Amino acid sequence: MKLLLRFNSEIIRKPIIAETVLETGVMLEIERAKVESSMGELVVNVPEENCRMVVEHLRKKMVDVTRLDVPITRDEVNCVHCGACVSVCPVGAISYEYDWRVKFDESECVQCGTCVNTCPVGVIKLPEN
Amino acid sequence: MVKRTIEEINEKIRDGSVHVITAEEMTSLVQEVGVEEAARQVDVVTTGTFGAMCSSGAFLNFGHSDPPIKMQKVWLNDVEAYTGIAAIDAYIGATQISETKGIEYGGSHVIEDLISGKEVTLKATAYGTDCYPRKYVETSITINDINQAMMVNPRNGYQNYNSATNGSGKAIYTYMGTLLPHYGNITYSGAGVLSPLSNDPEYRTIGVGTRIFLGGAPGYIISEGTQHNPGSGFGTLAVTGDLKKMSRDYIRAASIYKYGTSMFVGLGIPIPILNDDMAKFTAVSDADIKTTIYDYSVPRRSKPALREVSYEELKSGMVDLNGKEVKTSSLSSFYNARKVAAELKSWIKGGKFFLSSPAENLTRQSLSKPMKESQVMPLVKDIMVRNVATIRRGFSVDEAAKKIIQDRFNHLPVVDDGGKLVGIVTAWDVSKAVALSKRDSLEPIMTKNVITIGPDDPVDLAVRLLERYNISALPVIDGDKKVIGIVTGEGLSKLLARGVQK
Ligand code: SF4
Ligand code: SF4
Repeated sequence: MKLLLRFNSEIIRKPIIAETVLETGVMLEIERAKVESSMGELVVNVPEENCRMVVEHLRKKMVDVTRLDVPITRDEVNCVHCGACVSVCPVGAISYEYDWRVKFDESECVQCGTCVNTCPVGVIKLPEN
Repeated sequence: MVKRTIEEINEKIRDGSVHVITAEEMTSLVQEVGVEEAARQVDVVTTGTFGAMCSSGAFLNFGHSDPPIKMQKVWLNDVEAYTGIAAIDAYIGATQISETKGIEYGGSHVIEDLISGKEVTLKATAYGTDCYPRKYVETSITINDINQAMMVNPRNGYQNYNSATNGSGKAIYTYMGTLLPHYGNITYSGAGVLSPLSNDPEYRTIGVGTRIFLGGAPGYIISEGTQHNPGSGFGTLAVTGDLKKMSRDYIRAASIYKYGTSMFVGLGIPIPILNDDMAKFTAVSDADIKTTIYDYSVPRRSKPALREVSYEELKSGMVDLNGKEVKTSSLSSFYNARKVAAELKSWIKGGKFFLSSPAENLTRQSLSKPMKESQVMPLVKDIMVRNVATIRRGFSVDEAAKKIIQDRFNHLPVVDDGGKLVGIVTAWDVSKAVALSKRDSLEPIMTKNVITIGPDDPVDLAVRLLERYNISALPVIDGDKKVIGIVTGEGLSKLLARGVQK
């Protein structure tokens, strides 16, 4: 299971990953990391069976955790097909169909969350955990 | 030459022989058979749009309570509605936001809830009079409990609207949606070929009293809209309709991220083909409808215009901007605009909707003036610190440290050999570098995406940028990117404390 971990400026200097490994005994494989002075983002790979425990530990330490293997969802019935989400998607997972309906290709989605905020009618959701 | 009157068309609607097509179909038809033949065949062309139209709302009459109340303030689901009218009338505006939920829920959501038949909490306060003694009322109502619910939208259906992009280094959140940094995307809002006023650009058939489709119900144009500016192709409409008859398919609440609430309004106007000219106007195509792409990162009244673009290009999904292919997307639903035009067409064909002659034509002379400001706003150049110390990019961290101590500046803009701004270092960056023994060059420690401001920008803008990006200083640069001053948060607060008024 891939997890996206976001660290805010208050916790970014703490050795949270090391602590979590020690406390849970689960190896966290870091796939991608972006650390700046005010924020940090890590993508880690966690064995499926330990995922829940690791997520709980990280959340207690104020890390913002998103599960990346669960695709975003869109309530199609309530979508107004405005297209506000189309051009903000960095990987082109959202596009217009021939009849100007907006379609999502979940397999392309990298769960960046940009479209979630962009939707004016709030029909796009990232998985809760 | 075809000549037809509205009465003749209405007669055809009555006897079922009327020929109606949508504006999109008309464009193809004229391309196939020519203007004259199309004018001969077609009686009515229907248009449609479904965009976020902020300037919308509804007048509601709640009926009298017992004892009665002269509402001085009223809230519907914690969204304040305007009550400076008679005792129990109020106007709920689409962009008024909830006092408890913020921009997640606003006037447009109240309207959508009413249309959907949901219960809405009504609270009102008053000062109490002999005839209206009550001072407070709280109740739960649905749209069926209120007397009148009249949608009255002062500015809908822009003939044309700007297209937006963002040339700055950070994402911005505007009423044109999320705009990604470095011209990362372009957004537009308009129905192009289906746009009502673009199909009658000289307002020959559209005027006061024109019967229209509004929110899924019949409605009327009541006058030109606010900010009506036909000279530059920015005509607008003020419209009204019965909220009780509207449908959630055509009225939807919107909450635009970090901006506020707005309302998607489905609006359609039938255009009678009275003669060949009208056939020619309604043959307009996406390629003919042009708009301008503006850089919305400049939060001033005049934004830099980047290029003119047609709806055909915008709808292709990619636009060339200075040699870069930029993704485009719309904020207004073309899918739903088509539904509006098709629905209106079916009403007319089915004999349920008749056309009206305007009581008066819309003016083509109006201009939209900027605000007259009687107080001169202080500009950045009036308050900036001019003798700002800068450092060349090749210098070392130690040299920067010396300069910071010597000149007592916390911020040191970094410039190239030509004196142009390339970065900024702060006292904090420098001490961190010293502590970590990374003293060789400034390059790795400086911030490269510097937020800057111009000397002629208003001080309010400097304050907004400092807050928005959570930074403590802004280098002031001229047109050549040369640093000519600096404004700091600290400096500004001192000035504000002294109550600077130029
Ligand atoms: S979450 Fe990101 S990647 Fe996925 S569809 Fe939305 S914008 Fe595209
Ligand atoms: S922004 Fe929301 S409503 Fe608009 S097309 Fe995307 S999912 Fe649908």
